[in-house]
Amino acid sequence: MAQMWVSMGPQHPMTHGLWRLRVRVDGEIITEADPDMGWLHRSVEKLTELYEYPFNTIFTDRLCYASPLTWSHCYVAAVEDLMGVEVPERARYMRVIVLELQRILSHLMWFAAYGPDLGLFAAAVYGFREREDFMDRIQELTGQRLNYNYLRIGGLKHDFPPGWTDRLLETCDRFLPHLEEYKGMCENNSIFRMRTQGVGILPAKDAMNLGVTGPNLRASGVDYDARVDNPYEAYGELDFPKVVATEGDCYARFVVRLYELEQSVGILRQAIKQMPDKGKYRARAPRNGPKCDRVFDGTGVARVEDSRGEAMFYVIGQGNEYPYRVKIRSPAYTTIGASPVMLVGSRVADIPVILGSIDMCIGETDK
Amino acid sequence: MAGGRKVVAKRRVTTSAASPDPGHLGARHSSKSGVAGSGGDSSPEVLLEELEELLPSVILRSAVRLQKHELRIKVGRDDLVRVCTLLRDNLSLEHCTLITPVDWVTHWSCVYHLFSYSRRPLNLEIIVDLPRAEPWVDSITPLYAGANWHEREAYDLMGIDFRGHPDQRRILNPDWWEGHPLRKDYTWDMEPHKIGGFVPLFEIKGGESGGNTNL
Repeated sequence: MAQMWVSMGPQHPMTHGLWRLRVRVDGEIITEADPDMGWLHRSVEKLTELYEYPFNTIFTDRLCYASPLTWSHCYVAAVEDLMGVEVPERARYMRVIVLELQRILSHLMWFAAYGPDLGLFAAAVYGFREREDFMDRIQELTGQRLNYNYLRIGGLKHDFPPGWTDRLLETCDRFLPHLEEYKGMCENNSIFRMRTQGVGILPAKDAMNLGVTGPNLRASGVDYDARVDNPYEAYGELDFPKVVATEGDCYARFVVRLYELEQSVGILRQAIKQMPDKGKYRARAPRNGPKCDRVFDGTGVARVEDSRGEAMFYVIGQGNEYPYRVKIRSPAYTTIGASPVMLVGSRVADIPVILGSIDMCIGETDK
Repeated sequence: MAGGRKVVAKRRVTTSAASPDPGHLGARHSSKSGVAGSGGDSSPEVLLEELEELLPSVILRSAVRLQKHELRIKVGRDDLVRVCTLLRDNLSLEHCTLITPVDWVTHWSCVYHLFSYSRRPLNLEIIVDLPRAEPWVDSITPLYAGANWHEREAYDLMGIDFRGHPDQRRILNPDWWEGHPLRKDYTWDMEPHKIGGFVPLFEIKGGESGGNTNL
């Protein structure tokens, strides 16, 4: 049978952003896939060279609309590594709390978007209902509902408001029963499982070689979580299990994210309990970064566990208040690059299911 | 139904305590428990010794950052693929995290960040210097499939030529774009590029002084 190319996007409900997927189909079966990126390229790497170190959090906040805090945290962690800034202990715990809060928000956003991909519109309604509760908490904290601008080099913008952590714990208590509803809605739903089980399989060996990270890698059976294995901030002092599945299909990726919501609530509770009551929330940071000697010194690296995988910033200093080069490693970028492996051999109707399950964010991908 | 849910949860999701040891990871270094810095295996100093033993006189400079479990080495352009092959096949650095091209005006650099899952959290930074006149380096996409898009991006934004890359096209900019925007000598004061066939819906009145933009 004759094969033909089908173009999906750049504006298509499947894409969750602005990008284009070209697939070659033989009847219903996909034989080749070619993602076409760059529709949302805003040259963030170039812009960061033009602004001083503290101002660049404005751009890093806008890398991903679903998890601005983790991106800003990755940037400030790289700059702290570059400048040698020591973050106070209370600030390290506060960062863990806001990062996990951000992870819950991001995963709920993904859950609410993945349901409609499968025709399960109830997931969108349920997901955004619980997300709203957490959004209220982060709005109390930062004053914003998007692009929070809360991370600073050396710490955070301001301390938690009085009673905020208690209200956050109450929100967590309200949230956990709803999580059981999600599980019942999806895990006991035979249509949902028929659509996702055995679809878009990514073997562990391929996943590692293709550079896939985060929940997508853990769904393929590689038990690597940067928060446990390469801890940053206060994660090393907390005790929580990794969420790992073995199948590597869409259902495994779904289940890993769903259980990570539970894991994040556990980390939140633990971090709030262990956080020192008193202490500084920000350390003084120098204005100028060191100069890179063009061999090894004068560079800063941060690898963190973003909601979508391993985020990384590589910052090179030039001895004044401007960075010489900022490089962003976006986890969704490499995951979309690996998506042809999942797509080839599937049917056209499975494209939204597979691409929804990898949880992409085009803002960070196109930089 | 409730029983079914339990079985699913048990079969599908495991916590780290009961997680299956991934047997497909590198044969030489079996997967260790994921505690940071737990053994000599994940030490960057051990990796440096192994590299110096297997490939003598390839490493031009080296530095170790124990706190970050990081080894940094500098190698020549011609040795890169040889080093990466050895790292992937024998020293179990399975993951190519990032490729960063840097414009130093006098010359170019390519910085490779590799990571090991079976010797976690060991990571490696490889710096390769390229002469100003010849910005090319051998592609490592045949070794690490994940390097594909990083190399395409480096070609698109910095103009580094990756020899042997299977599909070297622009990725973030359109195909007809001229120049490489992240280069330090890229000119900014040019006419903004427009997408072909674009017709403005309306014109802002009031001339250059601002005027009424509430259209």
